[in-house]
Amino acid sequence: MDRKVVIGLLLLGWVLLVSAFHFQQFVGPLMRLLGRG
Amino acid sequence: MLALAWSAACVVAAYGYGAALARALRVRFEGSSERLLLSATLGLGVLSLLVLGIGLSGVLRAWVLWVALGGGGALAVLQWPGLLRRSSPQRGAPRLRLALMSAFGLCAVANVLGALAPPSFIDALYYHLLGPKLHVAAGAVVEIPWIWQTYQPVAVEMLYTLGMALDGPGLACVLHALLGLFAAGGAGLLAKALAGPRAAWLAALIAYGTAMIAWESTSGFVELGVAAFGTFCLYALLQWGRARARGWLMLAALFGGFAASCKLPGVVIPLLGGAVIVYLCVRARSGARATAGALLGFGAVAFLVVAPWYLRAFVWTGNPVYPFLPGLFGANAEYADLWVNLGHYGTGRGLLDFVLAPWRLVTAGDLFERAQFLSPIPLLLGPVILWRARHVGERQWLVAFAAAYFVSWFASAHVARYLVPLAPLLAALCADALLALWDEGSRLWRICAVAAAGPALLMGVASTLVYDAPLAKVALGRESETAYLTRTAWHYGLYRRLTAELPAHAKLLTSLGGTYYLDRPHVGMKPRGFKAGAEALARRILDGQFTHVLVQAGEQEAAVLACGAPVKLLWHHEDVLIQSRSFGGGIPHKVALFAVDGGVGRALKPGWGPAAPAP
Repeated sequence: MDRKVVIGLLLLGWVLLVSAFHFQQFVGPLMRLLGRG
Repeated sequence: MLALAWSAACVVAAYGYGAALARALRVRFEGSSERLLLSATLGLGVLSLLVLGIGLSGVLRAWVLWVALGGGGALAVLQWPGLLRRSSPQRGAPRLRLALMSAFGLCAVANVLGALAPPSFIDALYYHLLGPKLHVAAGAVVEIPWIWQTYQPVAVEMLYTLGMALDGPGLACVLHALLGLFAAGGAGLLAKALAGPRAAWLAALIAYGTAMIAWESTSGFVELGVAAFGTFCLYALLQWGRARARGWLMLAALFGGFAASCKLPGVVIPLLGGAVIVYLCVRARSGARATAGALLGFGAVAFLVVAPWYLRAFVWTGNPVYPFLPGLFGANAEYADLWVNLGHYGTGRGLLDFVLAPWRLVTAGDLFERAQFLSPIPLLLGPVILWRARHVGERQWLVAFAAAYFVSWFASAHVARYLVPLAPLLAALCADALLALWDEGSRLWRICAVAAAGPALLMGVASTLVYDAPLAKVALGRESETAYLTRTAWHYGLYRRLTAELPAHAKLLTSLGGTYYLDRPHVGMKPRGFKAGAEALARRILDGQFTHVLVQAGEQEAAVLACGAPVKLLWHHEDVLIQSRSFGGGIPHKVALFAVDGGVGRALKPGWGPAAPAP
């Protein structure tokens, strides 16, 4: 596989992984804000 | 809303002082945005020193401050033609730029409106705004022995003092919010210097569009001061590294000195700035003499700026960095206590904790007091930023600066907002990395750029608006200040009750913090004061000429009762202390009020302040 594709896939994986763990912190407060917590 | 007009006057005066100083240093600005941002920020630093001088001279009156502002205004009139020079034209996608500018503008309006809400965050009520309120009431910068934080360099609090004396807490907080806007402007200038004009607004929004900046802008903190002064210190060093014009070096020194003037840990900025100077000189093979000259010049000017603060603390306590370095300047009780408080943030101080800290900050923010409010983009783009810094050059020393600052943060209290001064620099590096990914041309890499920046920016802007909404509501008069403060400010109901029930000449000894809304003369006492024994406590109460004692129910109440005859329990008051202004939650709290028998306070002069004189 092209080196750039490998780097791109690795970077995308990292971005998605960190984003998932980061944004899950807002689920609870958001639910509370919407009155469902 | 008068506060907004006053804040404009303050910015004009600050611009006047800053532009005159830059002119004296023969700094050549490239365009109007660079001139305006650097001059106004520098001028705010100058104003903080002027207010300190006025306050220490005991003439802290509104008319004296008007004269100080008038002087800056006159200088601004003389300097205004410089603002007409255009900045280099913006290139790139105009729609994207418009979207970034709109989002930035939205956050700026929300944050400034939020800053106009009455102060309610505990740290501000405890000292950031309480100190300025006491200074204004006393007509001088006075010693506040029971709050160790007030012995630090407190340049931002001098701007708060200026705001309180001219208008009120709204203006005070808006001045700090403006420092946040200037810091974001600094991120834009840094990004422009690194990656061209396209990067400027991107960096500004990455730095500014976060709930952390909303929290900082609306809560009466000081980190936005360190961020603004620190970022322009770096920017000036960057320009000095390129052109070697001495004016830029001196400008960097002034900004470094002002960054150190905002709080004790701010000294890291000029210290690391010194390391940057050595690095730049070695790289340019400037020779030992030129290196020493640049370093000495930078260090001397930066020290001169911050020295009045260290001198003030030394005169009052014998320790210029009170309460730190007790081994060098003598033991003090505060030092152990403050680490009990600050030590419980974060996960630990081991090597693994250090390595994992960036990950934990972004994914487990509550451990660091709301680190989830920080932008995750620097971590998302961390690999790209490091890759781009692999060659010797500006990116490399900027990344090294950020890393060294992070190490200094890890060595101190693990509180997320103490990282705010790094946000503009990281945002500039992120904008540079994003444009590199985009310009490479591969669709996959562009997807990476969008995935890294898009959701985080949207979330940042949305959370800024959500955070500021309840504050803007009260600022716009849609909710009464009393209702808002009862809901959000610790002990507000209690302090209103005390102000209503106690005579104007009452003088309280209290163990409660955050006494900003307690409009009666009072002196604070730390919890350790109640463990010194009944006799010592009774002597403290009687010698201090207190009429009342306000303490927490339980251990402290029992300690006061043990004093016997001089005190009599008047009432208990139950409170719920708010956990989050946006999301609610509460901590039950009960306090006890005692009257001091013997009428020792009867002859006290009516008035406000920690040192109400006894006859």
